[in-house]
Amino acid sequence: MPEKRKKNPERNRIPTESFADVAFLLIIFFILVTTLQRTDGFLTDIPAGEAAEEATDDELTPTVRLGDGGRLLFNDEETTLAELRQQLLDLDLFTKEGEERVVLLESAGTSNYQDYFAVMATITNAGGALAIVEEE
Amino acid sequence: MNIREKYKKRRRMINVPIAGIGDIAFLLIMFFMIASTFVRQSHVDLSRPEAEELERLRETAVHVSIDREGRIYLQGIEVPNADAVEWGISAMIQDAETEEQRTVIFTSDRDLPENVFRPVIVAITEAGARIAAMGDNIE
Repeated sequence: MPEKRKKNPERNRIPTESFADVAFLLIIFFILVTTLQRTDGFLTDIPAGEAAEEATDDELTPTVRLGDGGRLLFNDEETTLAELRQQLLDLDLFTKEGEERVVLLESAGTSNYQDYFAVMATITNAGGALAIVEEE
Repeated sequence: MNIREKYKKRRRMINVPIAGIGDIAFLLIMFFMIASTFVRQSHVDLSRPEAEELERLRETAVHVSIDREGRIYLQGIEVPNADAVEWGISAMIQDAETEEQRTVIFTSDRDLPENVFRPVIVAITEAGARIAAMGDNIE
């Protein structure tokens, strides 16, 4: 008669001792390879369609023009970004509502996004509601 | 009993319970997996513009970006032109109930000319969305 194999509980056991090490290695790996994404920017509600046409109709609306090579004009007078910020703050746009907050942004069509972004951020931070003037 | 025997006895009694550490580690992994939101635009190659006094933007559902080659991406997927952006955003925000739901995070490469990025900004606006323009803060 063949000898009956004795049950050995140790033989059937799944070795789980190293699970903790594996898990901590995974955590360390993800901590090291993770780069936290910062999302900075500004929020702007640009009027579109009829609202944009209404906003661009008025000749008294403050107008910022972006020319060649980052040249900046505020109401047809040359300015810098820092000066533009002060000029817009002087308009006290934060206290105004609706169309009175609108600042038109015209561009020669040659500026890059960096210049455009800086001007949009300046207008928004000064309390202005941006309206982009489209060429016909 | 001499001092050496007493010391030996004490050493044998130290027993740090480590059985639960594995469970804690896996719970931590599960927490980070559930709480993480993956960056949808990680493959879009661009240099972000810079400006002063930018505020921290809240993460929104809709992303539009333009890479340094002028390729337009909606939700990380390349689209052919600005019209496609307008149609896509219109469809995505048609049931939006809050301002946050109709906010689109937009970013473009800083060196791109206006004829590339402006139609996209106009398209987002025409779709009825609010733009959250993303850039880097000048410290």
